[in-house]
Amino acid sequence: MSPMRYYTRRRPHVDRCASAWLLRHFVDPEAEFVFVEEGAQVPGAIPFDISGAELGHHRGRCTFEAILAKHKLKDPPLVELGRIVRSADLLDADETLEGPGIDLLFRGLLQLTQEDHRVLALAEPLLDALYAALRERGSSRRRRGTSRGKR
Amino acid sequence: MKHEWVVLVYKIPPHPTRLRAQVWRQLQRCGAIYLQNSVSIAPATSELAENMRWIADEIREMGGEAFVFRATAGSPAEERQIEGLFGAAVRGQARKLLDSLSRVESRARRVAKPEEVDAAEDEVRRIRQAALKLRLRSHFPVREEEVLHRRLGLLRERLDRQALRRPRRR
Repeated sequence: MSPMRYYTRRRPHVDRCASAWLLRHFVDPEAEFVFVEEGAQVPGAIPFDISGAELGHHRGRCTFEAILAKHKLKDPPLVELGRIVRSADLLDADETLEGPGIDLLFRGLLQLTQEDHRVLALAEPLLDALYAALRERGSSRRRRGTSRGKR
Repeated sequence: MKHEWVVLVYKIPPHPTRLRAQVWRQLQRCGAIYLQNSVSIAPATSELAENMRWIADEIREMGGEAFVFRATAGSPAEERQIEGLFGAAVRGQARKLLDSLSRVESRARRVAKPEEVDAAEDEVRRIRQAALKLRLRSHFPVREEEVLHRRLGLLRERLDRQALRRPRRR
Protein backbone atom coordinates (compact mmCIF):
# COMPACT_ATOMS: atom_id res chain seq x y z
CA MET A 1 0.00 0.00 0.00
CA SER A 2 1.39 3.40 -0.88
CA PRO A 3 1.86 5.84 2.01
CA MET A 4 -0.91 8.33 2.70
CA ARG A 5 -0.47 11.87 1.51
CA TYR A 6 -1.79 14.72 3.59
CA TYR A 7 -2.00 18.40 2.79
CA THR A 8 -2.39 21.53 4.86
CA ARG A 9 -1.88 25.27 4.65
CA ARG A 10 1.58 26.83 4.32
CA ARG A 11 3.47 28.38 7.26
CA PRO A 12 2.45 25.72 9.83
CA HIS A 13 1.85 26.93 13.37
CA VAL A 14 1.57 24.66 16.40
CA ASP A 15 -1.61 22.71 15.47
CA ARG A 16 -0.35 21.82 11.97
CA CYS A 17 3.14 20.90 13.23
CA ALA A 18 1.75 18.76 16.05
CA SER A 19 -0.85 17.14 13.76
CA ALA A 20 1.83 16.16 11.21
CA TRP A 21 3.95 14.77 14.05
CA LEU A 22 0.94 12.81 15.35
CA LEU A 23 0.07 11.40 11.92
CA ARG A 24 3.63 10.29 11.29
CA HIS A 25 4.25 8.79 14.75
CA PHE A 26 0.89 7.20 15.50
CA VAL A 27 -1.02 6.77 12.24
CA ASP A 28 1.34 6.25 9.31
CA PRO A 29 5.15 6.42 9.64
CA GLU A 30 5.43 6.89 5.88
CA ALA A 31 2.94 9.76 5.74
CA GLU A 32 3.87 12.53 3.30
CA PHE A 33 2.94 16.16 3.74
CA VAL A 34 2.24 18.79 1.14
CA PHE A 35 1.83 22.47 1.91
CA VAL A 36 -0.58 24.54 -0.16
CA GLU A 37 -1.73 28.12 -0.42
CA GLU A 38 -4.99 29.02 1.27
CA GLY A 39 -7.95 27.51 -0.59
CA ALA A 40 -5.91 25.14 -2.83
CA GLN A 41 -6.66 21.39 -2.96
CA VAL A 42 -4.52 18.30 -3.63
CA PRO A 43 -6.43 15.50 -5.38
CA GLY A 44 -6.02 12.11 -3.70
CA ALA A 45 -4.53 13.60 -0.51
CA ILE A 46 -6.23 14.12 2.86
CA PRO A 47 -6.63 17.71 4.05
CA PHE A 48 -5.91 18.61 7.67
CA ASP A 49 -6.25 21.88 9.59
CA ILE A 50 -8.11 23.27 6.62
CA SER A 51 -11.49 24.93 6.75
CA GLY A 52 -14.29 22.40 6.18
CA ALA A 53 -12.03 19.33 6.58
CA GLU A 54 -12.96 16.42 8.84
CA LEU A 55 -9.49 16.82 10.36
CA GLY A 56 -10.08 20.42 11.37
CA HIS A 57 -11.52 22.40 14.27
CA HIS A 58 -14.87 21.16 15.55
CA ARG A 59 -16.84 22.16 18.62
CA GLY A 60 -14.01 24.16 20.12
CA ARG A 61 -11.45 21.36 19.67
CA CYS A 62 -8.34 21.63 17.51
CA THR A 63 -7.17 19.55 14.53
CA PHE A 64 -4.77 17.48 16.65
CA GLU A 65 -7.74 16.42 18.76
CA ALA A 66 -9.80 15.62 15.64
CA ILE A 67 -7.01 13.23 14.54
CA LEU A 68 -6.97 11.61 17.99
CA ALA A 69 -10.73 11.06 17.74
CA LYS A 70 -10.68 9.82 14.15
CA HIS A 71 -7.94 7.26 14.82
CA LYS A 72 -9.23 6.35 18.31
CA LEU A 73 -5.94 7.34 19.97
CA LYS A 74 -6.63 7.43 23.71
CA ASP A 75 -3.13 7.35 25.24
CA PRO A 76 -3.43 9.86 28.16
CA PRO A 77 -0.19 11.77 27.36
CA LEU A 78 -1.44 12.28 23.79
CA VAL A 79 -4.79 13.49 25.04
CA GLU A 80 -2.98 15.92 27.33
CA LEU A 81 -0.76 17.03 24.45
CA GLY A 82 -3.97 17.67 22.48
CA ARG A 83 -5.20 20.01 25.22
CA ILE A 84 -1.90 21.87 25.25
CA VAL A 85 -1.99 22.26 21.45
CA ARG A 86 -5.57 23.52 21.65
CA SER A 87 -4.74 25.99 24.37
CA ALA A 88 -1.70 27.22 22.36
CA ASP A 89 -3.56 27.37 19.05
CA LEU A 90 -6.73 29.04 20.35
CA LEU A 91 -4.87 31.43 22.66
CA ASP A 92 -6.73 29.93 25.61
CA ALA A 93 -4.68 30.42 28.76
CA ASP A 94 -7.36 28.85 30.93
CA GLU A 95 -7.19 25.46 29.27
CA THR A 96 -3.59 24.58 30.17
CA LEU A 97 -0.68 26.38 31.83
CA GLU A 98 1.69 25.24 29.08
CA GLY A 99 -0.34 26.55 26.11
CA PRO A 100 0.76 30.21 25.93
CA GLY A 101 4.45 29.27 26.21
CA ILE A 102 4.16 26.63 23.52
CA ASP A 103 2.33 29.11 21.26
CA LEU A 104 5.26 31.52 21.58
CA LEU A 105 7.84 28.79 20.94
CA PHE A 106 6.16 27.56 17.75
CA ARG A 107 5.64 31.09 16.48
CA GLY A 108 9.37 31.43 16.91
CA LEU A 109 9.98 28.42 14.64
CA LEU A 110 8.24 30.29 11.83
CA GLN A 111 10.69 33.16 12.33
CA LEU A 112 13.68 30.85 11.81
CA THR A 113 12.86 29.73 8.28
CA GLN A 114 10.53 30.31 5.33
CA GLU A 115 10.64 26.63 4.39
CA ASP A 116 7.56 24.70 5.60
CA HIS A 117 9.18 21.24 5.70
CA ARG A 118 12.05 22.75 7.67
CA VAL A 119 9.53 24.04 10.24
CA LEU A 120 8.18 20.47 10.63
CA ALA A 121 11.72 19.15 11.04
CA LEU A 122 12.49 21.75 13.73
CA ALA A 123 9.20 21.00 15.48
CA GLU A 124 9.83 17.26 15.59
CA PRO A 125 12.29 17.10 18.54
CA LEU A 126 10.23 19.69 20.44
CA LEU A 127 7.13 17.51 20.13
CA ASP A 128 9.12 14.35 20.95
CA ALA A 129 10.36 16.10 24.10
CA LEU A 130 6.92 17.39 25.06
CA TYR A 131 5.39 13.93 24.62
CA ALA A 132 8.23 12.32 26.60
CA ALA A 133 7.72 14.84 29.43
CA LEU A 134 3.96 14.21 29.50
CA ARG A 135 4.53 10.43 29.59
CA GLU A 136 7.03 10.83 32.41
CA ARG A 137 4.64 13.11 34.31
CA GLY A 138 1.84 10.56 33.88
CA SER A 139 3.93 7.57 34.94
CA SER A 140 5.44 9.29 38.00
CA ARG A 141 1.92 10.23 39.06
CA ARG A 142 0.82 6.61 38.67
CA ARG A 143 3.86 5.43 40.68
CA ARG A 144 2.99 7.79 43.49
CA GLY A 145 -0.59 6.55 43.27
CA THR A 146 0.34 2.85 43.66
CA SER A 147 2.88 3.41 46.46
CA ARG A 148 0.20 5.24 48.40
CA GLY A 149 -2.20 2.37 47.74
CA LYS A 150 0.21 -0.22 49.20
CA ARG A 151 0.72 1.58 52.45
CA MET B 1 -5.23 53.52 7.55
CA LYS B 2 -2.76 51.96 9.93
CA HIS B 3 -4.62 48.75 10.74
CA GLU B 4 -6.22 45.86 8.97
CA TRP B 5 -9.04 44.12 10.79
CA VAL B 6 -10.75 40.78 10.58
CA VAL B 7 -14.51 41.06 11.00
CA LEU B 8 -16.88 38.20 11.77
CA VAL B 9 -20.57 38.67 11.04
CA TYR B 10 -22.75 35.80 12.15
CA LYS B 11 -26.16 34.44 12.99
CA ILE B 12 -26.66 31.51 15.39
CA PRO B 13 -29.87 29.51 15.88
CA PRO B 14 -31.53 30.82 19.09
CA HIS B 15 -31.67 27.35 20.67
CA PRO B 16 -29.85 25.86 22.43
CA THR B 17 -28.60 29.10 24.01
CA ARG B 18 -25.28 27.53 24.99
CA LEU B 19 -24.11 27.81 21.33
CA ARG B 20 -24.35 31.58 21.54
CA ALA B 21 -22.40 31.57 24.82
CA GLN B 22 -19.80 29.21 23.40
CA VAL B 23 -19.04 31.54 20.49
CA TRP B 24 -19.02 34.58 22.76
CA ARG B 25 -16.47 32.91 25.06
CA GLN B 26 -14.23 31.84 22.19
CA LEU B 27 -14.15 35.37 20.80
CA GLN B 28 -13.65 36.88 24.23
CA ARG B 29 -10.70 34.61 25.00
CA CYS B 30 -8.66 35.60 21.98
CA GLY B 31 -9.30 39.31 22.54
CA ALA B 32 -11.86 39.99 19.80
CA ILE B 33 -14.53 42.57 20.68
CA TYR B 34 -18.07 43.23 19.53
CA LEU B 35 -18.99 46.21 17.36
CA GLN B 36 -22.66 45.20 17.62
CA ASN B 37 -24.60 42.06 18.41
CA SER B 38 -23.14 39.29 16.26
CA VAL B 39 -20.50 41.53 14.65
CA SER B 40 -17.10 40.86 16.12
CA ILE B 41 -13.74 42.39 15.18
CA ALA B 42 -10.07 41.72 15.88
CA PRO B 43 -6.75 42.97 14.48
CA ALA B 44 -5.91 40.90 11.37
CA THR B 45 -2.83 39.15 12.71
CA SER B 46 -2.35 35.71 11.18
CA GLU B 47 -3.33 34.00 14.46
CA LEU B 48 -6.48 36.03 15.05
CA ALA B 49 -7.57 35.85 11.40
CA GLU B 50 -7.20 32.08 11.52
CA ASN B 51 -9.04 31.87 14.81
CA MET B 52 -11.94 33.88 13.38
CA ARG B 53 -12.17 31.56 10.39
CA TRP B 54 -12.31 28.50 12.65
CA ILE B 55 -15.03 30.09 14.74
CA ALA B 56 -16.96 30.89 11.54
CA ASP B 57 -16.67 27.22 10.48
CA GLU B 58 -18.00 26.10 13.83
CA ILE B 59 -20.93 28.51 13.61
CA ARG B 60 -21.83 26.97 10.23
CA GLU B 61 -21.59 23.51 11.78
CA MET B 62 -24.07 24.68 14.43
CA GLY B 63 -26.49 25.45 11.60
CA GLY B 64 -25.79 29.17 11.71
CA GLU B 65 -24.44 31.61 9.14
CA ALA B 66 -21.08 33.32 9.26
CA PHE B 67 -18.97 35.60 7.08
CA VAL B 68 -15.39 36.68 7.72
CA PHE B 69 -14.02 39.84 6.13
CA ARG B 70 -10.69 41.55 6.10
CA ALA B 71 -11.34 45.24 6.39
CA THR B 72 -9.87 48.68 6.95
CA ALA B 73 -11.76 51.48 8.65
CA GLY B 74 -13.46 54.04 6.39
CA SER B 75 -11.71 57.01 7.96
CA PRO B 76 -8.94 57.77 10.49
CA ALA B 77 -11.63 58.84 12.98
CA GLU B 78 -13.39 55.48 12.72
CA GLU B 79 -10.09 53.69 13.06
CA ARG B 80 -9.36 55.62 16.26
CA GLN B 81 -12.82 54.77 17.50
CA ILE B 82 -12.24 51.05 16.94
CA GLU B 83 -8.84 51.21 18.66
CA GLY B 84 -10.61 52.98 21.51
CA LEU B 85 -13.07 50.10 21.90
CA PHE B 86 -10.18 47.63 22.20
CA GLY B 87 -8.51 49.89 24.72
CA ALA B 88 -11.69 50.20 26.78
CA ALA B 89 -12.16 46.42 26.95
CA VAL B 90 -8.70 45.97 28.48
CA ARG B 91 -8.79 49.16 30.55
CA GLY B 92 -11.74 48.01 32.67
CA GLN B 93 -9.99 44.78 33.62
CA ALA B 94 -6.67 46.53 34.21
CA ARG B 95 -8.35 49.02 36.57
CA LYS B 96 -9.87 46.25 38.64
CA LEU B 97 -6.48 44.61 38.99
CA LEU B 98 -4.89 47.97 39.88
CA ASP B 99 -7.45 48.36 42.68
CA SER B 100 -6.52 44.97 44.10
CA LEU B 101 -2.86 45.84 43.74
CA SER B 102 -3.29 49.15 45.60
CA ARG B 103 -4.69 47.26 48.59
CA VAL B 104 -1.66 44.95 48.68
CA GLU B 105 0.71 47.89 48.21
CA SER B 106 -0.67 49.78 51.17
CA ARG B 107 -0.34 46.69 53.34
CA ALA B 108 3.21 46.03 52.11
CA ARG B 109 4.27 49.60 52.95
CA ARG B 110 3.84 48.96 56.66
CA VAL B 111 6.58 47.05 58.47
CA ALA B 112 5.33 43.55 57.86
CA LYS B 113 5.52 40.29 59.75
CA PRO B 114 6.74 37.30 57.74
CA GLU B 115 3.21 35.87 57.55
CA GLU B 116 1.99 39.18 56.14
CA VAL B 117 4.74 39.21 53.51
CA ASP B 118 3.76 35.65 52.54
CA ALA B 119 0.09 36.60 52.24
CA ALA B 120 0.96 39.67 50.18
CA GLU B 121 3.14 37.55 47.88
CA ASP B 122 0.30 35.11 47.29
CA GLU B 123 -1.99 37.99 46.44
CA VAL B 124 0.57 39.54 44.07
CA ARG B 125 1.03 36.20 42.33
CA ARG B 126 -2.72 35.96 41.78
CA ILE B 127 -2.91 39.49 40.36
CA ARG B 128 0.12 38.84 38.16
CA GLN B 129 -1.47 35.69 36.70
CA ALA B 130 -4.58 37.66 35.82
CA ALA B 131 -2.46 40.48 34.35
CA LEU B 132 -0.52 38.04 32.15
CA LYS B 133 -3.74 36.48 30.88
CA LEU B 134 -5.11 39.94 30.16
CA ARG B 135 -1.98 40.73 28.15
CA LEU B 136 -2.67 37.75 25.86
CA ARG B 137 -5.98 39.42 24.95
CA SER B 138 -4.60 42.93 24.74
CA HIS B 139 -3.68 44.06 21.24
CA PHE B 140 -3.06 47.79 21.69
CA PRO B 141 -1.07 49.75 24.27
CA VAL B 142 -3.27 50.68 27.23
CA ARG B 143 -1.76 53.04 29.78
CA GLU B 144 -3.47 51.37 32.78
CA GLU B 145 -2.07 48.03 31.71
CA GLU B 146 1.46 49.40 31.47
CA VAL B 147 1.07 51.00 34.91
CA LEU B 148 -0.21 47.68 36.24
CA HIS B 149 2.84 45.75 35.02
CA ARG B 150 5.25 48.43 36.24
CA ARG B 151 3.70 48.53 39.71
CA LEU B 152 3.57 44.73 39.88
CA GLY B 153 7.30 44.67 39.12
CA LEU B 154 8.08 47.25 41.82
CA LEU B 155 5.96 45.49 44.40
CA ARG B 156 7.55 42.14 43.69
CA GLU B 157 10.99 43.70 44.18
CA ARG B 158 9.86 45.25 47.45
CA LEU B 159 8.46 41.95 48.70
CA ASP B 160 11.66 40.16 47.66
CA ARG B 161 13.66 42.65 49.72
CA GLN B 162 11.32 42.29 52.69
CA ALA B 163 11.46 38.50 52.49
CA LEU B 164 15.27 38.55 52.51
CA ARG B 165 15.35 41.00 55.39
CA ARG B 166 13.41 38.56 57.59
CA PRO B 167 15.13 37.76 60.90
CA ARG B 168 16.92 34.41 60.81
CA ARG B 169 15.58 31.66 62.99
CA ARG B 170 17.46 31.32 66.24
